[in-house]
Amino acid sequence: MADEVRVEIRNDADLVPARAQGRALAQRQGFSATDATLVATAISEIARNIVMHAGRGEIVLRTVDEDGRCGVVVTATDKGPGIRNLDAALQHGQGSGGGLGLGLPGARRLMDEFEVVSDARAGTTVTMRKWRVRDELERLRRRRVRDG
Amino acid sequence: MADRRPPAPRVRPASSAWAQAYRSALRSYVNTPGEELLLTGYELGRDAVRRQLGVLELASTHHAALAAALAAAAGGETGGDTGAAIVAAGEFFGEALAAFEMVQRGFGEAQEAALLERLQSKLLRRLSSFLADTSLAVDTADATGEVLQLVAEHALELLPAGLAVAVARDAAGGTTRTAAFGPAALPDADTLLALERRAHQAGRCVRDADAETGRGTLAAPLTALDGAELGAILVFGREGGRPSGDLDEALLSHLAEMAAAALERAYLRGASTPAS
Repeated sequence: MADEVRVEIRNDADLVPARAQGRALAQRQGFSATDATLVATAISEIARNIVMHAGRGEIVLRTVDEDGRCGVVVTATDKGPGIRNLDAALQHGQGSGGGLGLGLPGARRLMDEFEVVSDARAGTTVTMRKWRVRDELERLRRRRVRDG
Repeated sequence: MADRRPPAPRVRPASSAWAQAYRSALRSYVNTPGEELLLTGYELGRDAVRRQLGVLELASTHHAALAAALAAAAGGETGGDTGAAIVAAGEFFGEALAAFEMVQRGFGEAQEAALLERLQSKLLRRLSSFLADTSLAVDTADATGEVLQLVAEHALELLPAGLAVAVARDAAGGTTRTAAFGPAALPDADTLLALERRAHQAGRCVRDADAETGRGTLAAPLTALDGAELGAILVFGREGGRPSGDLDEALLSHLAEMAAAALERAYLRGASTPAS
């Protein structure tokens, strides 16, 4: 059964619970402390973008479990003005994080999968995933639990 | 007169205000760990990136802050648990480094992009050189032979291979001219014909591997504008060489298009006919 947590983003203070939940889910999925930090960092950048460019939005955090791997999915949505030049934003970022390698491109580099859908009508949705490959022992244990 | 001023530093030293903020936040986190202070650590690291502080500067500031926090722990803060203080300080340091991690990964991406661009420039220069050479060749008495030789030579320059063979056919479809370039042995006529057929049947460059030797092969058809089969370029890999990839296919396809155009020009000029 997948865990799912929703965090509303209205101001900078909301970055704290978003990060905390992301970190907690990553640790629950067995990610290392370093990878859990990277998940929290990616969430920071996306949540900051929501506050800066859209004013408010929501971050949904979910775990995913497959036989060979498990992971965390982060979906950030807002009803803001959208990203005009998506290619440029993904390469160089927007605003104060842009040009330094932070912001959207920074978050993209820390996660394993990263998609953005954005337009002026519907706003912006960022979906990012981080995966952990299960080793043989863990897969065996899961099979035993599943098979009783 | 030469400008003897030292170049502007790419990294700057930490300001005392930033260092003090780091020390204070670290100490607070060691005493009372929590996500809010971890976010503060992250923001300090982000600020360090924005201010162009170096990683060494961050490490040095952290080391000084850690020493102060341990001294405080030994003096009774955090219940005197220096072990817990070290663990907590490590978590805080990790957050501060996260922004540098993003930047470093970006640097890696930029390096790859720059390498790819340099490679593309180099390849474009080679192809331009081929174009220039064939423009001269079509005016010679044996234009077909000259063009084929240039095709084989340039194919071997573009792709890491043991042998390149360029084949031109006459209108009836029989093999007329062949040019080969490279140290490897020339395969028999049946092998060459089979590869050429495959390429024309596919209508594009095809990859293969020799069943006996394991050598990779590439075959690109030479096709006239009206669809007539003009011949093929066949490239045979080196023994123990790397397998052909998408870039190799794309390069050979591009060369084949230019070679087909050069052959057609040679035929149109009538400097030589396919049968001569």
